Amino acid sequence: MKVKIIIFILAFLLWLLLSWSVDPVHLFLGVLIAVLVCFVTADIFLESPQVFKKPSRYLWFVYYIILFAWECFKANLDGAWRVIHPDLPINPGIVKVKTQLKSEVGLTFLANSLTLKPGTMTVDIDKENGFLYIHWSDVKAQDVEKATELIVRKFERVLMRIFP
Amino acid sequence: MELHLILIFMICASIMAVEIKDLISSVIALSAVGLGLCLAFLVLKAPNLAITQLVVEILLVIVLIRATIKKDLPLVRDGRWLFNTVSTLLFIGIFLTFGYFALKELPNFGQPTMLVSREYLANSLTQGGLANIVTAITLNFRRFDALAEASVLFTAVIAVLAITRKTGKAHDK
Amino acid sequence: MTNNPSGMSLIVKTITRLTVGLILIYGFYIVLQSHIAPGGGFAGGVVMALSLIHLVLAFGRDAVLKKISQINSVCLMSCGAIAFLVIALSRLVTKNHFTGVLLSDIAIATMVGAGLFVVFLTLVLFIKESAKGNKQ
Repeated sequence: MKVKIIIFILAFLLWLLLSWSVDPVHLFLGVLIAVLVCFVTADIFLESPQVFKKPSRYLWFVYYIILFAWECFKANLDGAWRVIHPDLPINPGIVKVKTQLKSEVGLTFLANSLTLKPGTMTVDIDKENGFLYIHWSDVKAQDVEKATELIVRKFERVLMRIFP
Repeated sequence: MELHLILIFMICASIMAVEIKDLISSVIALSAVGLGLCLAFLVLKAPNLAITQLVVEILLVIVLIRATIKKDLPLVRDGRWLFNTVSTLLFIGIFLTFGYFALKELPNFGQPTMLVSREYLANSLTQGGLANIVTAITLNFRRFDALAEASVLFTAVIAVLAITRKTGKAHDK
Repeated sequence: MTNNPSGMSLIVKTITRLTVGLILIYGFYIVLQSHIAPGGGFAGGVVMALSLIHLVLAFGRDAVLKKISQINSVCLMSCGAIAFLVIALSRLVTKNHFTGVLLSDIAIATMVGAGLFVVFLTLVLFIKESAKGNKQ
C-alpha cells in the first residue's frame, strides 16, 4: 500500500513537470494518469519502500555523480591516449569481479557505471553469488581480488551507502 | 432526403444479395451495396472515404468473382440483347454527361490547385477552434475519416484474432 | 550465469521496472497536447502500447498475462471504440470544439493502444501454441 502512494506521488510530480501548468483540467488528467500508472506498475516498482526515508542517501548520491564524472573524464583521456599512440597498447580480456552489493538496483547502477566508463564493459551478472563478468580493454590483473581492487572498489564504497 | 433514398437502395440490394441462389448475381448485388455506400459518403461530405470505398469495392468484387466461378461465364448471344445493348449505351451516355460537367469545374492549366486546403488553412482557427491545423483537419473538419481509420484498425485487430483462434470442441478434463 | 529462464537479464529487468511508468506518462502527454503540438490520439496510443510491450519483452509473457489478460485488453479496445463513436455522434462536439477533440483523442488513444497490445499478445501466444504443436 505504501508503494502505491509513493508511485502515485512520483507520477503526479512527473506529470506536473511535463505539463507545467496548474489549471484544473490538467490536474484532473494528471490524477487519472497517476492512478493508471499505479495499477500497472505497483507490484514491480520497488523492493522496499524504506529507501526514500533517509536524507543522507540523497547526499551520497550527489557525491557519487561527481565522483563518477571525474572517473569518466580520466578514463576518456586514457582511452584517447591509447588510441592515438602508434603502438595501440591494448590487452583485452574478460575478468571476474566480486561485489558485495545485494539489491538489484545497486547491481544495475554498478554495472551501468562500469559500462559507461570507457575501457570496461559489463558482460554478465550473477546475482546470487555477486559476480560480475567485465570485458576490460587493458587487463592489468587476472585473479579476482586484484581485479576487484582496480576496477570496482571506488564505486562500490559509495554505492554501499546508497543502496544497502 | 437523398441519404434516405440511398439507404433504402442499399437495404434492397443487400436483401437481394442474401436471397438470390446464383452466386454471380449475389456478388453483383453485393457490389451494388458498396456503390450505394460510396454515394452515401459523398453526400455526407467525406470524399476521402468515397474514393477509398470505390477502389476497395472494385478490388473486392474482382476477388469474390474469381473465388465463386468454376467455369467460364456464359455470354448472352440471343434473347434480350436489344434491351441489354440499349441500356448499356444509355448508362455510358449518362456517365459522359456528368463527366463533362465535372471536368469543367477543374481549375485551368497553370493555376494553383489547392482549393480545399486554402479554405481549411484560412478558417482553421475560427471555425476549427484549435491552433494545430493537422488536428483541426483530422478531428474537426473531417471527423468521418478519423472514424473510418479507427474502424480499419479495429477490423485489423479482429482479423488477427479470428485467424489465430483455436477451432474445435472444448476438451473434457 | 544463473539467469531466470523467462525474460531478459537482470539489468534489463531493473531498468524496465523503473522506466515503464515514465513511457506511459509521456504517451498520455502526447495525446493531451494535440491542440497545440504535433501528436494526437494515434501517436499517443502507439506510445502507450509500447510501454506494455516493453513489459512483455523484459519479463516474459506469463508474468504480464497474470496482470493484464488478453480478454481485458480486447474489452478495453472495444470500450475505446464505442466511446469514440458515442462522442463523435453527440452534440458535445458541435458546440465546444476543444473538449470534443480532447475526449475523442483519449478514446482513440485507448483504442489504438489496447488494439496494438492485443495484436502483439496474440502473435506471441500463437507462436507458443504452434511451437508446442510442432514438438508433439
